Amino acid sequence: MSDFILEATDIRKTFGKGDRAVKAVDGISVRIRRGKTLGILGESGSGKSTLGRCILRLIEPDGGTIKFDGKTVSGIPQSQFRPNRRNMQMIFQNPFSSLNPKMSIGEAIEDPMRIWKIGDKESRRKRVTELLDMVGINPRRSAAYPYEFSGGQQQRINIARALSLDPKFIVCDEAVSALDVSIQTQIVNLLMDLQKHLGLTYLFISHNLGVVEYLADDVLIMQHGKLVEYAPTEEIFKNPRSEYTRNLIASVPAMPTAAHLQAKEADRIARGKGLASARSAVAG
Amino acid sequence: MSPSTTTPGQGPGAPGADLASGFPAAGSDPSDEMSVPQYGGMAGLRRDWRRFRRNKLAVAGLAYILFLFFIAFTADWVAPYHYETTNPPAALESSSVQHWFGTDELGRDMLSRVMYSARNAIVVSFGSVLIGLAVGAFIGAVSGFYGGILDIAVMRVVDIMFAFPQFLLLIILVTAMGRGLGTMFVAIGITSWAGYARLVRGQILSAKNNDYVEAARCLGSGNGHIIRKYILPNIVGPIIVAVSFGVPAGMLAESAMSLIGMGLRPPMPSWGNLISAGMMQMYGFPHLVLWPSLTFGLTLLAFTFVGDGLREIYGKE
Repeated sequence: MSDFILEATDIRKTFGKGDRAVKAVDGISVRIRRGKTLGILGESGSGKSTLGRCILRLIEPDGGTIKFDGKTVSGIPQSQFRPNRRNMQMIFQNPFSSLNPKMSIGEAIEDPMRIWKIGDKESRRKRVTELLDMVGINPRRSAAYPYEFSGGQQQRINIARALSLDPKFIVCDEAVSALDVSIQTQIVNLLMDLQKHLGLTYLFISHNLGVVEYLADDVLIMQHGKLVEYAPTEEIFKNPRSEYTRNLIASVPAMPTAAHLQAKEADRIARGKGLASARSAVAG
Repeated sequence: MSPSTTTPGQGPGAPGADLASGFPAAGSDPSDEMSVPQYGGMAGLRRDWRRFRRNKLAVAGLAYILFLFFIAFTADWVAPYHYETTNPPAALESSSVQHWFGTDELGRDMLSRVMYSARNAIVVSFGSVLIGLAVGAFIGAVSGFYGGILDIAVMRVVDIMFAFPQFLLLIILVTAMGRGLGTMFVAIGITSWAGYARLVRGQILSAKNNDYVEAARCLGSGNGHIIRKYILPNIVGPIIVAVSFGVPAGMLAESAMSLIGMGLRPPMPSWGNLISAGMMQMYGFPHLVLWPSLTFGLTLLAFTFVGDGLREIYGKE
């Protein structure tokens, strides 16, 4: 068995034709090790979501090959691809709109198991209870509808649904971007816990550098559908090689911490000294 | 990191927060400790009924409509007379114990004729809605699903249908097909499909772009499952609302056609026929116009109340 659960090579996708063609994904290759997380960073419109959808074949890529768990899953018809859906799932940005408003959350989580004819009614309901418990939602509320939950809870329900088929690989498409900062932390921690316990592999798409730095093992940075930088997380954040990455990291608005303020003060003094020495040089 | 320290809580006040203590320990089964409510089945319908019940006018309208249905379909037994039974000596009587709504110029019992009219009104209006909806929903659904040139072409035809006066088209159709009950609801159905087509198309267009449809596809659902469980339940509300307004519109069209002598063929009674016949002697014998008009007006009002009630439930989520 290959070390990499996912190997996507030279993925390409163009939207539109002629003058208005947009290369949303332009020759991106990624490899993710089992149980690891690859973060994809980029501003809106950089093609990161398209890449995620191409890998899951929710959008048909124009070119490139995708190997999942050692098997080539690109270039085959959707009907042959379909069995792979059990192993690869997605969590969406908007927790409310990705839940069917006409299904109670219990039905929503049970539905994938019904599609795949897993177990009988009783064992499926037991599994629903287990899953809700796992994501921190009271299983007694399984008859409630999505609008009865807060955004954070809805995202937990989405996570439970994605886990219902025991997938190996999950694409998180801006999975915490629509949530409050405090809830974001909870969901990110939940995702990391689940990864540890279930051995999940994540492709974590985000524009939030802090979150990606926190949970990704490797980071891929995209701009206008092209690869900018692809390296282990630490290296990217400590030692960014491209101008774009440096700008991206510098553009994060951060609350000034004590350390920040000290550094700033030191910087100011250093500059003052520089100025003073320049003056004395002119005078001298 | 132990699970108990890393499992996030749900924030203050979240009911599940204290119960969800993280991952179930090996061997423990959470369903042992707590009973899980049943979900699915009729739960959604019960919830809708609870919300509908809050609107007293809508409930009253529904009660009236159910009563009208009962009368209409048991008219053969409930009505005191047959609608064709004449009794010339008792012509043009006003309300009495024998004839609650009085009699017409041939001595026919007006109450019975109003009752039988209800049956014709219901058959014509529901029949026309069924035809209009079947044709319109199919065309709209195909148009919305597949899009492209087909969609553009279909929607232009719909625009033309909207631009053409419905009444004129009805007259042309009735002239071509001849008067009668069947003609009536087929003609009204044909003239009303465009509205349903436009509605269903719009609903499907917006429903199929929802994230939950993509999520369902990602979970491995086929097209049939997506349409049945994800798209239809979400568009059925607006369709029900449209039907609840389409039925009285059908009744109105039938009565209007009957009023100008192009609807049901007398002696078959229809509210429009009765009003039309009674208008000649309206000043001498106002009961000829009063009772059918009152019944008809109340019926339209009841449908409007029910329609409003349904719109309150399904209009917003």
